[in-house]
Amino acid sequence: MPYSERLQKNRLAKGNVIWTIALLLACTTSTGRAAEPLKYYGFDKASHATDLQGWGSTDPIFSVLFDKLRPKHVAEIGTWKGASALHMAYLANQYGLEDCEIVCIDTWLGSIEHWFFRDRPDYFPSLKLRQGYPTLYMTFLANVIEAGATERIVPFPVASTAAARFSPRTRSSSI
Amino acid sequence: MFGDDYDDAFPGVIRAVDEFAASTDGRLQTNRKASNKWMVQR
Repeated sequence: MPYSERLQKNRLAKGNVIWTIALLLACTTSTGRAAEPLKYYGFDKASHATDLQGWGSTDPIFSVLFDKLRPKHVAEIGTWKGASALHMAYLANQYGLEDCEIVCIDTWLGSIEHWFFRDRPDYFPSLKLRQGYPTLYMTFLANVIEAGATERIVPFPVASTAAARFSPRTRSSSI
Repeated sequence: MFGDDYDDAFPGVIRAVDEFAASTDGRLQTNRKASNKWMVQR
């Protein structure tokens, strides 16, 4: 295909993206609030099974700290499938912390041990590769939607080093 | 700030937590009996 045609096609594609974003924003603003927050909007939950496997996700320390600190901002670094985040969302509800928002920072690509331990079900198989790429993020989204915690839990899919450039009080409106 | 995996199996966690506590003048507490939890308080 000639370069000029490719360029024109590319411009059209970019235009479509802009319109898509504008449409989503319109959906959000025209009704005051979208059925799901934008980060979850349009996700086909049926295509990904829920799976709340994790490690120490309901440890008593969460309850102790929520009771003592009553946080408005929680930044979780390393979220995996979201079990800890959902437990914190549950605690926020229990303690009546209406404004408490939990920002989950993770690449959702797994850590090195998840790639090394091929035979342990909680490790490599949990990455659920599709076309060689982990689908942990989809499992996380399915879990949060299933639990009805989309208003409280905000995914921030970046490396912790990138997230560190943002304020600890970063809220969903700015990511 | 708190977390888990303060464990010899994850030397990177131990190193990062120790460095963070030192650089912020935070008080580091660890509990190897409770899922290797750690906490840094200022």
